[in-house]
Amino acid sequence: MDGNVRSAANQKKPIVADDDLIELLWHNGSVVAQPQAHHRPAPPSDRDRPGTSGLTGEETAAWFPDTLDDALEKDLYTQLWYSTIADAAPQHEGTLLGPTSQPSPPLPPVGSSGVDSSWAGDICSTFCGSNQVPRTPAGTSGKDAALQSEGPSGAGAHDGTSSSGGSGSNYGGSGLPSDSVHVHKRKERCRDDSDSPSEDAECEEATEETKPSRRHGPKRRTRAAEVHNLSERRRRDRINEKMRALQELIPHCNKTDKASILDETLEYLKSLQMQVQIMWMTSGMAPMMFPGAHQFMPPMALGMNSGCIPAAQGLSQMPRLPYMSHPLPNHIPLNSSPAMNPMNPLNSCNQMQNGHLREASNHFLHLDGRTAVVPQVPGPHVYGHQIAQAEEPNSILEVAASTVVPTSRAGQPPTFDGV
Amino acid sequence: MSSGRRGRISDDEINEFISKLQALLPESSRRRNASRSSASKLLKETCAYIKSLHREVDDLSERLSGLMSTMDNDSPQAEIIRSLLR
Repeated sequence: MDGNVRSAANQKKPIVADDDLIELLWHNGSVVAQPQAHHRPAPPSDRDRPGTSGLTGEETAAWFPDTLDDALEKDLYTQLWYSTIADAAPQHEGTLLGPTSQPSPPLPPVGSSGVDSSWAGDICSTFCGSNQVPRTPAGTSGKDAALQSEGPSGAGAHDGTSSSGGSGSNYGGSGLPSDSVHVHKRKERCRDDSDSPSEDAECEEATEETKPSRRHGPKRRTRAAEVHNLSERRRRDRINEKMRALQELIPHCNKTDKASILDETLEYLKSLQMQVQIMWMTSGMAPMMFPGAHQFMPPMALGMNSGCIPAAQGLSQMPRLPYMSHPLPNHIPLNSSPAMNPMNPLNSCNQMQNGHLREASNHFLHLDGRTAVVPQVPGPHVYGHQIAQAEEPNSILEVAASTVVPTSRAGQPPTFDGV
Repeated sequence: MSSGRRGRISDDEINEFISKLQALLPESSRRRNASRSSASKLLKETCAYIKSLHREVDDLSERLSGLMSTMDNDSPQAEIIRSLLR
């Protein structure tokens, strides 16, 4: 009866089940469900017959439309699996190829080796056929070849495997695993080479570069170039980052190109320095504006830098400060003189008011960095000294004077409006 | 400033900028050393310097505003200080 089952009219329907694999067999229009165990011996014998081969192919072809995708994925696995079919003792559930996730060789553990081999061959052939549903003829032909190779199990298996392998090679699916492995290797290599963790881009780049099968000689050069490019890129990134930070620091900086950012940085830096300098002056001077502000002496007692002192001499000789009640000594005693001279420069400066300050800021911008002695601004005459060093003593003196506003000498005529 | 190409910075502009910056930065003027500045280091120093100047301005502003409170608001020096604080 089993043989009948396996007649040409047979159709085998795979059933996916774990324990109760039942192959539904149609025999002449009627379904005959039989447990797998019983079936297994029969089909091989049937399969031996060439007649059934065509059927098998048809069967597989019939299966395939449903499970094409699965078959694609399972190709490699099934190939591998079927290569060992001959030795596969346990019966696996699932049908031959199509719907099952496992390529189960419906081979019975028992049976002659010939049966096994033929079964294996058959399965392989069917497998081939399933591979190539769109290429049924090829599958069929392969199947025939496999069928005819009834011999030792190894041969059968080989044929099946080779044919399936051949079909697999034509197949994108089976090609894929090797490619992915290959790419993997490249990526790993790339990762080993590069140190920093953020080398994904580098790896891809390396992979792309080495893809045209550049391997050994150019590999070293390429890697060195990669490393260089990498470090170059990192350097540029750092610079760009700092440029952006600079741009944010500078107020009202709308430009994004490096040249203008640098220009604005220079200007802003200069103006900032001047502003700070003036503020120091003012903060130092302000206590001078009214008598008794001795507590602010300490900042002035910080000491003049060397540049101020010779200028002090110059200032003392300057006719601009005739109001000084006593001539300034060459070495201006910072501690004491401010206390004594608060009014004098104030007198001279009383006319210089806010306006001068503002235009002075413009003048200040013309100064070079020499006047950047900000934290050391001492008394008013020292301001003058400092200013005397500057390239534009006129305006600066005005400014200095303007910062020293007299409290009670508003009526005094300006002694120096600009030299 | 310079009329160099604005698309990419030319070497001249860079050198000019570097020299000016070094003149402005307090430390560089002391050391007179031009070789230790890679671009990023220079930029970093500039950023730090600007930040320190900002802090200084803030401090001085506080101070001046403190001073303002000690003097009558109508006096000329108050005017000056206010202009500074603006």
